[in-house]
Amino acid sequence: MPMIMGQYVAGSIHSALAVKEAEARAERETLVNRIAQRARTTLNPDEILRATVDELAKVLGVTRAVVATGDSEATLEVIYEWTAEGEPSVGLGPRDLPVSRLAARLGRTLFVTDIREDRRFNDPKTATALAKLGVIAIAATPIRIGGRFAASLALVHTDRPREWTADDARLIDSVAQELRGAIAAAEAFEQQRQAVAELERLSRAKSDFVSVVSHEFRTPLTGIQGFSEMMQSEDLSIDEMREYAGDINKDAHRLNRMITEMLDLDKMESGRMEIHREAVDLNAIVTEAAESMRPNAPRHPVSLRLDPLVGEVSADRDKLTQVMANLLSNAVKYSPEGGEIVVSTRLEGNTAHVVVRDHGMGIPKGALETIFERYGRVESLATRHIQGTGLGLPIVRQIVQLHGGAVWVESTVGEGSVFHVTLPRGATVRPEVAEATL
Amino acid sequence: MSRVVFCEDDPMIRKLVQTALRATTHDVHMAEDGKQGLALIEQVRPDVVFSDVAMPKMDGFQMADAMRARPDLAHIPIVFMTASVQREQIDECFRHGASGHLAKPFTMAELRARVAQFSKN
Repeated sequence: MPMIMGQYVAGSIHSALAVKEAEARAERETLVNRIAQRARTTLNPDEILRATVDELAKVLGVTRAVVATGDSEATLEVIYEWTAEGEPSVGLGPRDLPVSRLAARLGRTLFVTDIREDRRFNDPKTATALAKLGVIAIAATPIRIGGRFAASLALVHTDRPREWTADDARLIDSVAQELRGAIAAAEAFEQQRQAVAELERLSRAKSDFVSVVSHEFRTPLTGIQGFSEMMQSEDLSIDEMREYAGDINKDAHRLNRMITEMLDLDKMESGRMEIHREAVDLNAIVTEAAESMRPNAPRHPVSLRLDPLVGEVSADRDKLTQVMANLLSNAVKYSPEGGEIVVSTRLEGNTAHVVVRDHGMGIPKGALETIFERYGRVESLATRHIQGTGLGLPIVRQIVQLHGGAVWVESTVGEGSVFHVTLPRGATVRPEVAEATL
Repeated sequence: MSRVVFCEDDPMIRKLVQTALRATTHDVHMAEDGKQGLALIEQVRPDVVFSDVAMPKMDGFQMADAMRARPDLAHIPIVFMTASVQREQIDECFRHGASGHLAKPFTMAELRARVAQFSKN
């Protein structure tokens, strides 16, 4: 009897387990079907990603699921995270995920039962990173799109070790397949969104530009129109005639400079501008630019700190002069009277470095990069009286880049700005100059 | 004959206005920015002020607002000279209490007519 009883109990337990297993399997199948169904019917890739990861995590009974994207395993950035209730969050953004990284490098899913006993992850740095994440058991699978690594899915236990089964592996695998589509769509969607935002920005910039240009052009036109009208309709002496003709001429030049600037920038941006390189004495260019600006800015002291070792660079003389003239004229325009402007040059290896420092109003942090973009001038009450088409710095950047150099700015609002230009000295440096620098 | 204050930061336009009005009997005073303009207005108490909008230190609108806040200056008419002919900008001039608007580039006849319009006989 007890024997029969024992058999009966064992049988019941066995069939109960079988039922439970069958239920679990059915639940998993339903999950995969539901995920595939959703992928076919939902348009929002973010929503597919979120729902898929949430369900997978719940069915597997893990405590955390993390999706990270990146161009390579070295630059993983968490884009979505699901956590069980009360579970600490890893947070979105760039994270060090050692298991996902290794899985990506190996190109296959990695299963870890207990990370604390896994020799692949027990070097102190990795162990510390994983301990910080609270990882005990983990399954990490790389997701490849179009032959390249695109993302990683990690399922984590922070509560206990786990022996991953073949069923778990199959499930994770089929869900990862579905996620691939969602991530590819999300990437495409994001690219599209960025393209639209960029177009909107350009369109706004263009209409700003039209209003800036129409404003700036009308100022010299007022002089041209007014003085010519007077010459036409009033009795004037020859001397007066000459004088007004000179004024008209000046304003016509001003207008022409504005138009040339616009066309030059257009040429440079579309790659149609040629530069004529020759050996140019950089310090001489800086000195000339400062000299020619002084008469127009008598109340701005300009001091030069030039390193004679800088010597010659291989550059287009006129274009380089334009770079210095634009930087200096900006320094004057955006500084109060009496604000000292310091131009220095120095040699760094085979690179010439020019620094223009002013004590002007400074540039807000958010504009440090955009001021180099076309029509990217900072518009505010403090700057709107300042004349110019807003093309000076975009032209500077284009010219410097055509020379293989770089330009950037550091600034503190209310204290001033420091513009940096670096230029490779190029091949035409005279040998004796080169020797002198050794 | 009347007293006129002109505020304009562009030296060529200042010279143009001065030259165009020298044959008239008006007493013309020139300022390079709003701050200088306001000081000049206090000093000469003009019959009319002509002002550019975009100027350093104090722009035309700030100068107009400062005049409106002063009971002894609030009555003086201001004509804004702007390079923009966009409706919103012209409206903004009137919101700051403008009595008139002159679009750049303006003809000398327009300029003289506007000055005459605000002159005392």
